Amino acid sequence: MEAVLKNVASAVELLAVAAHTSDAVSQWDEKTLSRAFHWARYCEYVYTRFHTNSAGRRVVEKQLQHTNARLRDAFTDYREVSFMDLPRCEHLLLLALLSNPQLPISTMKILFGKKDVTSRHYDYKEVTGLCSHLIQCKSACKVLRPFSGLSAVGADAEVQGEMLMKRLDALLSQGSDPQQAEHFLHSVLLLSEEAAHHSCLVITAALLTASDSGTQTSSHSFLLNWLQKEHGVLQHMGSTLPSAVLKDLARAHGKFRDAYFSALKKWASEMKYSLNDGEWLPEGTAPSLSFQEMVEHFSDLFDACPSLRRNAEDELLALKILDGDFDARGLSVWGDILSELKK
Amino acid sequence: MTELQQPLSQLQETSEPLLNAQKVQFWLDKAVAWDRAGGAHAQKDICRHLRGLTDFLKQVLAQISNIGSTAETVKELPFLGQILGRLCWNPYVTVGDTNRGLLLQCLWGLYSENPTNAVERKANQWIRKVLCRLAAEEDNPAAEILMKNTCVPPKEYHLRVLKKMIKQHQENIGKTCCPKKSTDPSCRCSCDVIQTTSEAFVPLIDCPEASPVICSLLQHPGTSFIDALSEDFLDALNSTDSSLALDETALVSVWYHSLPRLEEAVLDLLKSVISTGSAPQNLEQQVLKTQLPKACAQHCSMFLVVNDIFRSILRQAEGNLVVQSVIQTFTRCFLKELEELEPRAKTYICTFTMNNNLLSTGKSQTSTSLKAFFPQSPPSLLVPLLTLPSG
Repeated sequence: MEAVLKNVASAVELLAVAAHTSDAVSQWDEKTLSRAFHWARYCEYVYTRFHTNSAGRRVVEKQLQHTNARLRDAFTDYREVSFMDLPRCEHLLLLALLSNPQLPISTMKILFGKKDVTSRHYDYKEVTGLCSHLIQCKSACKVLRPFSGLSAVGADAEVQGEMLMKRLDALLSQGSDPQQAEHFLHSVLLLSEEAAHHSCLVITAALLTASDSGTQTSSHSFLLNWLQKEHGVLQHMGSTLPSAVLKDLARAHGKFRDAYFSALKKWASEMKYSLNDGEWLPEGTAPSLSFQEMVEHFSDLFDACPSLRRNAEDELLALKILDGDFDARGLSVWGDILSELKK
Repeated sequence: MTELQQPLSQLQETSEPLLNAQKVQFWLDKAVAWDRAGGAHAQKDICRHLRGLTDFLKQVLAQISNIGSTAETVKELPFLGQILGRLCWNPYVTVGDTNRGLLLQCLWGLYSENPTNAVERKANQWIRKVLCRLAAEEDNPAAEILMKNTCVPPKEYHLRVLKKMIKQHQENIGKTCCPKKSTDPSCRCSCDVIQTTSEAFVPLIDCPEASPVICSLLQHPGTSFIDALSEDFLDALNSTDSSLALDETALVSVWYHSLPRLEEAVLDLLKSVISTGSAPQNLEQQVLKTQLPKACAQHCSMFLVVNDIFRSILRQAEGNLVVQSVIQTFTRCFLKELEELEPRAKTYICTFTMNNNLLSTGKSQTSTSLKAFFPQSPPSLLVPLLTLPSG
């Protein structure tokens, strides 16, 4: 353990040197570069080894605090390294070097050189073309993104959903405070109005990741509980996601089916009949779904979950009766929905 | 052999003419237009011009090396910085190995190791800034926040997203309505998946991660109709400098769709045998490795092209024993492949020089095979030539 702590301290120091605009980096050649990235990858290994071991993690965190304090005194503008930064050390090193004007151009050329994945004949192949390959991947994603219609939510949301679930699994299985998991969901999903649609796609993808282990089932459950509390998100999902996706979600998760049904009822109850338009119109905080769209949502939900249909229809009938049990159109939204559904 | 170098010189690049103001203006206008239109809208135009862009960047690189000083280059080509800068942010340009490599070389060419004036210092700063932003900048804030909170580095994230996109395209190609086992040539795929996918992958021809989709496109039964694959895709296949990471079937498909690539493969074989001077026992291995005999056995049209090339070379290199042995070895390998393909029909094929020397012979029971392989020769001539020489 002592050796590990010493190595972590050295790696963090190296990162600080890489970021610092002194003469040290101007001496970095391909050998130094390769060794530096080797140390960065060591940090990733330390994270993998200790992130589920809370005792070991605490010891590493203590070492990091100690090293950070020392380096804060030695370097101005020092950026502290936390335990959560360890798996991204390679990227932090790259950022530090690329922003450092002292890095020799010959060393930079190695990072932007051609990455030949098949060659076994050159040295430092881990660092050669590192940036080039990254630029290629980012560009390829941009070029292919307009064709995202191939998947229901898009490749980005799918990968982000997987990342979300993996982190949620880790947080929940560590037996840590559930508030930490909630805080995590808040930080990554509730970003802004503009990002709301994308968050819905990520949540959808996360909920549709194959649940083949106990941990994933409880993570799905946690996410669904969180979703039920976030009415805004559920509303957005219900009103913007394609019906095929909503059907998949309802089929996969009973909790989602129930939450979605409750939301639909709430939105329907807020509709008001307009005599001028001869139609039910959304009002208040309800999403702007037309009456026809509302009916389609109910219909799709019952298609996806036949077990829900009987009880749901009884419920809607009871609501119609409460409204006065009228058959004429425009007097009870429940009656009108039921008669549309029977067609 | 000087005679041999004549057809080979077709492959040599002619020296690049110097840049003129008109050309630079053309590419500046293009770079600005592509920037303004934004990726997807300009896609078709960008794809049409990728090859021209490669030539332009090669000329720029040559010019930068000729001039030798950044300050002088900036004076002579004042819009160069703008062009290169805009192209750096165009993903259709930076996705392919060739254009990205040339763009980077242009930037290195403009970097001064020991800057002596303000122009050079500024250029150096700009180049470092562009490179740092290209590698490090994330344009999706939501993704960036998630990466930080889930401890996933950008390199891993972008590669995962790309692999997923590639997989989805492959599955989509696999789902197209042409049944794989169909041998009915009149069965046409009614969906335009092949067309749109090949169009989408034009800029990714020389992106190694994309090779599974490129292979799938080339191997799909629907692509036996020329117009299934996009024109721009075929053009890009023809002209890419980098060697494609293709498997056997895809390689044969490339040759089937691209005559220049087939010709190139034949000439490459001859060049490599002549330059390395293969021992006879290695020659067969070398020929088989090219996949040319197999391809010719599978597609008569390819055999005809290869046959023509060999005939032309034999005429020019009369008496050259190396060339003769390559052609003999090729014919032997071709016969073996044909035998494996059609074991019931024993095939005798004649290939002969202008001097009517029989190099190798075979005998065919199916006259249709013969006619297909030798459409110009009347049966009355073929029949005596089919007879094995005695002694």
